[in-house]
Amino acid sequence: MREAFIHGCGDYYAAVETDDALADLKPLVKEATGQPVRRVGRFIQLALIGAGRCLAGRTAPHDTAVYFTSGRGDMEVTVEVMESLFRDGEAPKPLHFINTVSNAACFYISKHFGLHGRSTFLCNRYFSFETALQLALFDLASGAVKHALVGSVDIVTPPLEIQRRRLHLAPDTPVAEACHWLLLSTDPAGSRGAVTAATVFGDRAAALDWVRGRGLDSTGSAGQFGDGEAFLRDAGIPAAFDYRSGRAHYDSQSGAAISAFLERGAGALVHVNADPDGRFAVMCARV
Amino acid sequence: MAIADRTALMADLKAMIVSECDKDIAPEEIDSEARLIGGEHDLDSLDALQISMAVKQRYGVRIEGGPDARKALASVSSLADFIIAGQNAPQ
Repeated sequence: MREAFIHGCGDYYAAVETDDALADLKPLVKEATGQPVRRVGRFIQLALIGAGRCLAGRTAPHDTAVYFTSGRGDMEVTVEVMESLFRDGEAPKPLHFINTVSNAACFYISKHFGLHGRSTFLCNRYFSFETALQLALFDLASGAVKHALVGSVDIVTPPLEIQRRRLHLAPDTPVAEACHWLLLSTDPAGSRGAVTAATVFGDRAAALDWVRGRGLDSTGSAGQFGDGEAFLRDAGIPAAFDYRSGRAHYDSQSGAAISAFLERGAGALVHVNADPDGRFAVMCARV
Repeated sequence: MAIADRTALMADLKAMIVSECDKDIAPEEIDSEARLIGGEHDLDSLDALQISMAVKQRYGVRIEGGPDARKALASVSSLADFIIAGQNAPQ
């Protein structure tokens, strides 16, 4: 797989400590897009904020493709629609209903940033960012796309007690809203670094063989799911890069690894995540 | 319905439109007689559908599609008249 060069990154992170402590995202959306955007919920708002910060005022090539992911999708509008239908016995409001299609966020991103490339939404509880990145790398390597905006969004839908139950978290586990976006290109000119691999393996042995086979001289970081530290130890890679310290839980935390590594400075990163079924996801990047 | 009630209904409708259509304006900025859909506040057919659903839930009056909807949603004033007529119509 060829490298994909990193031309931008943009993030948002906010821990949510009480049911009424959700940040007002409208001013941030306006800041990111240059105009108020109406008829969108927190999920689309965060997608616009992250994409806007990633582009940082630049005009992305019009053929840029969007690869958008989440651990759970737009839970806010999904809950609204389900409650209308099953609790209240009424038809859902149109604006809620249309935004249950998670790819609606891609429409808003394409519209506000003038992108005409393909757009894809995928949802994956454990490897959301990794699988979106893997798909983007495939398309970049095959020549199907030349530029890709890859991002994740996870929102909190209060009450927090139910949010934690939904996420199968222990009571009082800190939770957060976050988004992470990367602008990738096949063009190395002006890039800040590169994503060199993003692969999901069916089992630990296959992942370990692949990492050992590449002879990586890298810094390792362990994702939030599974025992990535033991994996890195067995692979002979020091788990020396901790981007997760102090972060509350959200599903697509792996998305923070590469952007945090870009801030850290020169080096190579191997990021490992695992799901409860024994699959492993490995992302590699260099700065 | 008395004039005072109609005035109060229009104020209520303006607040409802601002809320349902997610507009960053004060309800008083909507002119009661101005064109509602496609007018200065940039409301479109999706907003029309959202307003129709909200009117059904809030006032129990159903706005059917076609010419009736165009007439009812022409302005806040016409929407108020439509609701009053609907509520006073024999069941």
